[in-house]
Amino acid sequence: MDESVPAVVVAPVAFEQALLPHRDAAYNLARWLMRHDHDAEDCVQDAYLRAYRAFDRFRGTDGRPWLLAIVRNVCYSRLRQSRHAEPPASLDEIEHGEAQAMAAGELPWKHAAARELLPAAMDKLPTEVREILVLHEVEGCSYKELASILEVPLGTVMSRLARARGRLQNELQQLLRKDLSHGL
Amino acid sequence: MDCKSDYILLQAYADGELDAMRAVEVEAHLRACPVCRKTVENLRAGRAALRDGLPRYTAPSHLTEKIRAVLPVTTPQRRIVATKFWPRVSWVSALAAAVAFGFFVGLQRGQSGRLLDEAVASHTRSLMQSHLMDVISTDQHTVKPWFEGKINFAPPVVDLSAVGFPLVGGRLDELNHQTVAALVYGRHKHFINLFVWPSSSGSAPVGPTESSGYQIISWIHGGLNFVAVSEIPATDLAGFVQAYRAQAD
Repeated sequence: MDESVPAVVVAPVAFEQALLPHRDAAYNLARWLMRHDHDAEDCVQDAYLRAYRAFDRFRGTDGRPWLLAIVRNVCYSRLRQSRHAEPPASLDEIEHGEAQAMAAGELPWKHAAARELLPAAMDKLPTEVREILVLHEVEGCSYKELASILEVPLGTVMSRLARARGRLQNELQQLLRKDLSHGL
Repeated sequence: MDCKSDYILLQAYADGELDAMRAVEVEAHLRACPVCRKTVENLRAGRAALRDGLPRYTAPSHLTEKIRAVLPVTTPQRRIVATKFWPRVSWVSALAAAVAFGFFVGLQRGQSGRLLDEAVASHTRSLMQSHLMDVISTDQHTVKPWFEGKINFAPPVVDLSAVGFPLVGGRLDELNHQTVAALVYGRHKHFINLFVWPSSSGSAPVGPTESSGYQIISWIHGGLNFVAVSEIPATDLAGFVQAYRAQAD
């Protein structure tokens, strides 16, 4: 018997039970990162295949963060390959960027147009910034899950999240100002 | 509490990530500090706006099938094949038989015999899961071109359905670290694996053999090795080989 045997005896039922329920989470993340339906589908499909091949290394009880980390890696390698992709924002820029979330004076969220402009503001953000906001607010991931998915320490999760919020707020404020000046 | 440096703490509070004791401390501070109250209020408003204002995309219904289609063991087509043709051999006993076969026979034979051992092991393995087929087709004109470009020899693919051995499919396999073509034929509810590879890269002992309930017939023709393995009766396998050779040779 050769080494192909262990790969063959992976129980498909266990794999499907652990990971197939998370296909919406996988698709949601891929869709937000790729911003394209078909690209997102391809990435999710590829991620499941990779997850299947690596399933013997899955040790957790919750498949969601494990799967999402794979989805994320697939999406980023696709984005890097794509000539049309935006240049990825360096992590330094996010960790040490000028954008700060401290702005407590103006509250763009209370503005009537904020909700309509929110998708456009998200669209202006670098992928890495959009990603953590989607995972936390849309997907409802905890800090601990974020640390696992993004493969960074908890402290980095908190500072990255703070800066992501600051950048989104800045984008939204800019769009609101434009919106107001157009309205006049 | 230093209001400027504790944004991270307020954020964790607004995100519900603080333990009860720390949360109580923050709440005590918030009662006394309007600046931090406003920060928390802003964080909560932002959270609510993102939760309500951004879509959570859901996987389209066909995506599940697309996912299953790329998983080696969960392809729906293969399930159909499995239920239709699944032999009444528990894979555990088949595996045990193959291991025992390898253990007893492997000691008595040299390099060429090992090829037969591996052929039996591969046959057994192919029954365990849907590793049986990489290309599923009853059409020789589909199976034959499938091998082209994957291997540098052409295994003869013939239609034997008229004599009771329907072609089921084919796959690439490995015997003794070399790539071989495996053609899969059906016989009632059983399978026959026919392994084919160039005789220049090592040959198996020619002739019929039987081991642990598996029948093996090996021959060489036209620079190719052929090893047929199955759990069907010896006379049936001989009939298969005769029919195959009548058309292929």
